[in-house]
Amino acid sequence: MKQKSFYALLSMLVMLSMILAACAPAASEATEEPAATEETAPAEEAPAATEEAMTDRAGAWVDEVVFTEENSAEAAVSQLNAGQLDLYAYTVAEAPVFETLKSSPGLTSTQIVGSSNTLMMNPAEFRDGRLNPFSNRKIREAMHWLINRDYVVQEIYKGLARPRYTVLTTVFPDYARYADILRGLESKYAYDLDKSRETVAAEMEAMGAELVDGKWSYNGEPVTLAFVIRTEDNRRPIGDYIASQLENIGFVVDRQFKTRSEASPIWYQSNPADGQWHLYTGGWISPSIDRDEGDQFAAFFTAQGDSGPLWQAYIPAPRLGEVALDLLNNNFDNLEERRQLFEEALTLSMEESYQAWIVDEASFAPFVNNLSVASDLAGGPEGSQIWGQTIRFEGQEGGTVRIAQPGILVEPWNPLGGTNWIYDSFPQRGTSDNAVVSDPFTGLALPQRLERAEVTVADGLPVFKTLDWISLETTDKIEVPADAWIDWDAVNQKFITVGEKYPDGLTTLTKSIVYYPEGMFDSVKWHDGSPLSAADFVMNMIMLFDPAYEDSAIYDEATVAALEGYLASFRGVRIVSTNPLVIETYNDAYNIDAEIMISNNQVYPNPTWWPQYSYGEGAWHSIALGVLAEANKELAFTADKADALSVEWNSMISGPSLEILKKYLDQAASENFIPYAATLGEFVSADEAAARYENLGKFHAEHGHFWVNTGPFILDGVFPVEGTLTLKRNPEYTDNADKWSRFDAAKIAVVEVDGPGQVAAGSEAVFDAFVTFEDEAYPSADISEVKYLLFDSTGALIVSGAAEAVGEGQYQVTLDASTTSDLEVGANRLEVIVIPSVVSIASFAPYEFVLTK
Amino acid sequence: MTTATETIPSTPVSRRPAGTFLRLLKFTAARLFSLFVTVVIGVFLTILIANMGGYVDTIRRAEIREGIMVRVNSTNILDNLSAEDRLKRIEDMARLEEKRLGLDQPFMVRTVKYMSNALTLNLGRAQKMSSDSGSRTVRLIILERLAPTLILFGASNILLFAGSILIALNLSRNYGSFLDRVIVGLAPTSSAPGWFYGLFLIVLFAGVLRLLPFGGMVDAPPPPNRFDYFLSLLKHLVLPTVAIALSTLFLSTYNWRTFFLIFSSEDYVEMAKAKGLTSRDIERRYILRPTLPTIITNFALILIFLWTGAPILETVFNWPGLGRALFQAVGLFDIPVIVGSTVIFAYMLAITVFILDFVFALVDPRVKVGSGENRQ
Repeated sequence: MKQKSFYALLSMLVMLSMILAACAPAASEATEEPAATEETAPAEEAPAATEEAMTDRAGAWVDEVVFTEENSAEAAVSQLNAGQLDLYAYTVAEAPVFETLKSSPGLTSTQIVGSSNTLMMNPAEFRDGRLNPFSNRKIREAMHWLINRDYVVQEIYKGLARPRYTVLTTVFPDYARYADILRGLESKYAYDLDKSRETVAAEMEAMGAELVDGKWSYNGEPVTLAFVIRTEDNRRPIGDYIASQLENIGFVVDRQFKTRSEASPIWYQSNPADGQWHLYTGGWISPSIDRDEGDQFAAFFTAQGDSGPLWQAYIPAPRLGEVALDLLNNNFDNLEERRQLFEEALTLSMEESYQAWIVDEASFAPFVNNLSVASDLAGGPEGSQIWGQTIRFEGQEGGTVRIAQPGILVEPWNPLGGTNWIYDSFPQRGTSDNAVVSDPFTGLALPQRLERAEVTVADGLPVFKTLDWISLETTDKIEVPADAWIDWDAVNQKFITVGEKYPDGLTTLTKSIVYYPEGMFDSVKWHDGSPLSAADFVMNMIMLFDPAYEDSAIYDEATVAALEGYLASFRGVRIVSTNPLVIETYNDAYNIDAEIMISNNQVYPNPTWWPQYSYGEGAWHSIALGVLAEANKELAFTADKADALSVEWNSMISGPSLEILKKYLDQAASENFIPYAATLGEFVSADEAAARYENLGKFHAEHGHFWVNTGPFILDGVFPVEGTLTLKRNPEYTDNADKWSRFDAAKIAVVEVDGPGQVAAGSEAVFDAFVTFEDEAYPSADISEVKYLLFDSTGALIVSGAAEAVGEGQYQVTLDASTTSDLEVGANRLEVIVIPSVVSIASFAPYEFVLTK
Repeated sequence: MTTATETIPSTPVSRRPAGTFLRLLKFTAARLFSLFVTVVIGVFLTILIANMGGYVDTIRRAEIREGIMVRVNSTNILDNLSAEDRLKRIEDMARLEEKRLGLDQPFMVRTVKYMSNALTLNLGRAQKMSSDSGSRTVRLIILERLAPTLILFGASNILLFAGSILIALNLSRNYGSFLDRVIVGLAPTSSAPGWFYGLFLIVLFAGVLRLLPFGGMVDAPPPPNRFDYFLSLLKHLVLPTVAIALSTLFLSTYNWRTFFLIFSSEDYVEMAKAKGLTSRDIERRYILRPTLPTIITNFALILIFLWTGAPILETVFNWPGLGRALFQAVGLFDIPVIVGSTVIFAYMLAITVFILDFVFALVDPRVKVGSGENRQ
């Protein structure tokens, strides 16, 4: 009896614990409808700016940020709910986690849109004589009709994605710019299984295949498609779905489920003509908003995209190759010509279809309701360049923000060749500053430390400007001054001037002049207290060249490729004035946005010359320690050289490197060492060098590392084994905390259309479009364009045009009598497209009406 | 569970010291040689398996080129070059990376190099992983994770080992008691691994009751003074230790109890009881003594297997242990880390087996080192 009671008690305990576990927030069941599609995409629940930020506080809003590691998004949401975390900085794409998030009243999220999934096809003819259906471009094109993207969005992603058809990302500026062209193509390539089946059947028969018992057969053998399906994410169910669709139209599909490592040798490395695969579920990531996707056609449809065997098998239709190259090289005179090239390239690329894009993922990063942070539309909070300046608890100054991410301290930190993991660059962005920052919603460059810039381009170059901080001029000829620096003499450690290298003179296509404000060198200080100086900028120029020359003491073969890339277009740099700092840079490379030409991403080298290196910000004196250590073969900036020398990879924040760097700090301090003294010595005095090393010594004694930046946070504590690091507010940071408060929330417009449900053919019809954000009228000043598209009952685009502004956030579309008289009787669809100027995502609103006689 | 090694001399044993020394020397040499060969074979197989017989080279090459393509396209660093120069530079970058990873050498050459380095305990450099503090040396990658592993698994396993033996001894004396039936009844709970209990414990004690942390080794940021750090560490140890205990304690106790029960029913134990010895004396002299070799063997193996960690449990509790590091190394095909940890494990196992031979002779008078011809 006792025994029975015991077992009963035990059973009850187990059941009780299971019930409690089931009641926990992390495991709660989804009770709501699946998230909506693109028009009401779920993720733009970023906290609103509820008040005008008014403060005297300088620097960061919060006092401290603590980073920890958490691999599981589900566990992170549990911790957010339990109040043990404030932000999970990762692009989460798991629908069940989003359901949990939606049912958690204390949590919200921000939208991240930089990832896409595609169906990649092997276009080669197989050497062993087997039939490869995808060597036929019409069959590749027919794959668009095979895939029901709305099904994928709703059933697989539960709404956390947007259907995507073309090479253009649906949330980047070019999509908004050419929305009318794209909507037309999307209508043309909308899901139509019968059309796909018919097209495939016609082509397969033409290629000599026959349908036997519902299965395609060639030379007596069934046509079996080797479909490599990635297993790590939603590409697994997507692959399963497409495989089933292919089976529906008569193919035998060999589903090969593989991880990235297993799949890579097959789809990417094997010779496509060997026929190891037919189809692959590809995926691409854009870490930041790409304002010019013109280069994507060459990247994805021509052999120039990559040196791998798959890309070498790309032999596009000649005209597609031409327009792809024209767009890659910005070979157009104005935006209208660019538009024509895009229209042609888009149409031809859909016919070529080496890839069929399926979705743009609408991932999210969860955080607590009372937190706000500027989140990059493509990169999330972790990709935002101004997260450090903007993160705050609403209505509060100070406090500690606790952030988790799936990794931390992954690889060594050093500005020249350190980690490029997002888990490391995220906290790094909080400690660093820059001359310009990227607008998290549009990708345009905004001045941060810079005061203004002037861009001059040669006549005929298609360069345009949007913002007022930059001026743009054209000229017939840009001559590079003879005293501009263009190359580096690693032996004598002196720059080579244009006059020395090009005695006959040198001309170029663009000139950028950046103006830093008066007094910057008094107000901006490194975290160790040393004032920023022109020497930090010059050191950046030197380090661009020196490691790539064999005569250098720190020669590193791994840096040669990048320098060659720079030098291909670089035409010189000249320091016009050191205080205030004014720098001229000459370059043959350009971008259609003048602002982007002054930013970090597109044109190399970066013409601001801010001491922001490829892998972080660095002061000349902290980098000097690494230079000494590398010259003495005790450390190396890059992993390649560290391995070649069998020495430690330079980590300025932890590990065995610190002892070596400390040794060289002592040596440098004792000698007042000035690296590259023949050049840098003109910008640094011995006293300044001594003061800098003294400051760095004190900083190291206090914080235990050498990571010295100028940003809103100081790297305070590094705990590698515990997997934690802490950032403390930089009290010397000069900017007001509310400088970037306008980026609290992306103003993604909500559009509603109203109008007559029935329209008589031959009569005028007027439709109203209401554009709002958070239930307020969307300021017309923030809208660059409102377009409309009219589709008939077959989905064909009939007409497009611009809507007329009739009030704040109100627009009108008028279909005149001749337009309505041309329409077919029946259901027609009007689509209104709103293109804001303050966010790169366009908003769409369909409206259906019936045309009567 | 291993059985006690017994040696029953069939002939009178020579007591000459020189003969004993020679026999010992011969045994030691033969034993060391056989163990070394075993280690060599084990390490060689590890190298072959970790490299998938050389196929990892193909994976690596593909990953290198794919990584470069993504990097070049996302950073636009080579945009300004002509198409031909761009492709050439991409090839150069790939070649450099292949050289860094040693892919410019034939697989068999690298295998021999791995072997010789491993056997001489020259653990070398990781190919992709860094230690927590940023070092590429395999030694540091392993050493940095050793302390947390020893703290969690060392403490919990040693406590569990001692606890289960003491409880088992008690149960073997009180066979059929209520506690005995409870342990027997709960033994099947050990069929689930520790991480499984960990998930429930986290939901219950961290998510719902909010009494204990979700995971990690200490609070973030770690407390600055040692006492607070220690308290924080204890707090974070509770849930993973309980999870390990739930998954092993009952079965382990049940096994030991059964083992002791077998010895408790030996004739010589009955004789001791009949002679009126106290139960403590019987336990110590007639049960524990003959079972000591088995207990020592188990204890030694527990210590060695700490080396492998517990990847899933560590992941669930976000514990920075060796198991996660090795799991990561396998995922990244980081051969030096895999081989390095394996060779240390192999040496530790071989040395333990070697030492146990002598320990058995010390603790069990029936065992005699070197007279292998009489082994049963």
